[in-house]
Amino acid sequence: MKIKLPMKFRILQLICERSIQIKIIDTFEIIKLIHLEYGNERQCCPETIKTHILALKAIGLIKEIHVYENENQLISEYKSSREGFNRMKLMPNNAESYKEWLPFKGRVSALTNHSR
Amino acid sequence: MKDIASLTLKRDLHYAKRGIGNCLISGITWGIDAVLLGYLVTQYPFNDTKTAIEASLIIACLHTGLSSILILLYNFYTGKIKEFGRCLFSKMGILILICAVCSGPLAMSGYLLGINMIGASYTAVITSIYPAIGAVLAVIFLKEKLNTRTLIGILLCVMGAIATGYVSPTDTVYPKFYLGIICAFMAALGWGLEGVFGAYVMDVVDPEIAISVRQTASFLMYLFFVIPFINGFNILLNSFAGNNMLVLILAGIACSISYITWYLGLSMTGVGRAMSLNITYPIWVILLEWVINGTLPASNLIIGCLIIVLGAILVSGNPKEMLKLREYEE
Repeated sequence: MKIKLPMKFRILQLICERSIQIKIIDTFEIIKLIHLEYGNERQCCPETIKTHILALKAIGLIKEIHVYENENQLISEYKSSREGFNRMKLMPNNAESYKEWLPFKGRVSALTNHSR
Repeated sequence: MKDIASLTLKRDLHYAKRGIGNCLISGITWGIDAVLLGYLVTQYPFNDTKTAIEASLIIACLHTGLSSILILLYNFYTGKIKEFGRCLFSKMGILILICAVCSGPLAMSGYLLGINMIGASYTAVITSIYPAIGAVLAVIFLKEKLNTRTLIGILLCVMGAIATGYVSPTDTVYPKFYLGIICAFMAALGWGLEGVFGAYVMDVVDPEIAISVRQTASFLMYLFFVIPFINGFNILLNSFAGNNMLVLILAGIACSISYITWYLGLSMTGVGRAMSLNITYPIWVILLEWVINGTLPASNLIIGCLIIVLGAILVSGNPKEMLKLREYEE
């Protein structure tokens, strides 16, 4: 049976996927993408998503690379750290978003193993 | 145009201060919980000296069970209940089960066996070092950054907790002294390990879900392994006599708030800081006992509390240090 990833883990996955493609993801886009998948759950609100992002940043799994202001709101752009990529090893094979992660898995493994 | 850097700093500091707030609430509510449980052990059927160890384990089972139900209800209210299964049936779930084993059977059994073999005073002193063990493990395994001032603060909190819990050992001869010492260390190690495993899981899981899975697993372990092992179903069935149910519910509420805020604190301020601020609970126990029972604290309690306050100030004094909790190699 396929299961969804915990929302916080899914946020990390989105940031890791963009980082490995050398693309940028910002707060707005994370909220939009998370809302598409978890929108029917009460926990899915910008406040909770922003708190999860701040938690990931404080422990060093993601990095804030640029911050700007838009309509009186701080918008940040993020990329994953090496440790962030490393944590993707915890992704269960039966996760709904596992298939989406597969094309990047080999590259991320090579990247994290190279650092050791 | 507003300065983006100062706005970002303000946002991050707000997050760090919320973390400190959570840690302090966890200490206060743990103090309230301890006072309520202290009252409960004087009531029937827990007040029989012949079954003191069994009664402690049964109280721990009921207390954990009620708190796990209350946390599940809270998760339902906040709309996070679906995260429970997502977390449990994954690799993170296995890590939380390890957490539950560390804090439940390993730490709690070690603590109670320690009391049985070497008495409460030695056990309290040894188990009080768990924040220091947690901090060392977090530095090694989670690459947590702790500067000298924070480390001194953690040590002061530990010393303060030892001073408040210390009772002069009696002349009693303990035939299993060294085994008792090992058991007490096992408890401190169990609580330290719980913090590290818990923090690792909460890196990718909501802390309010992590604690929910941990409490539920802990309760089931008590119910299916510990209670049958001590043959404690008779005492368990008699536990709801008189006002016990009301006290248990109040303790369950205090315990739930304490655990939720503790796990939030672990995630937001790091293992070393969260454990040190959590161990401020003796201050609240002493204050509450003074307010409720009019019990004047002994001199070692006042000295211990002052040391804890100083340690807590050193640990949480500069929230700017909490903006980057860990240092990973790039």
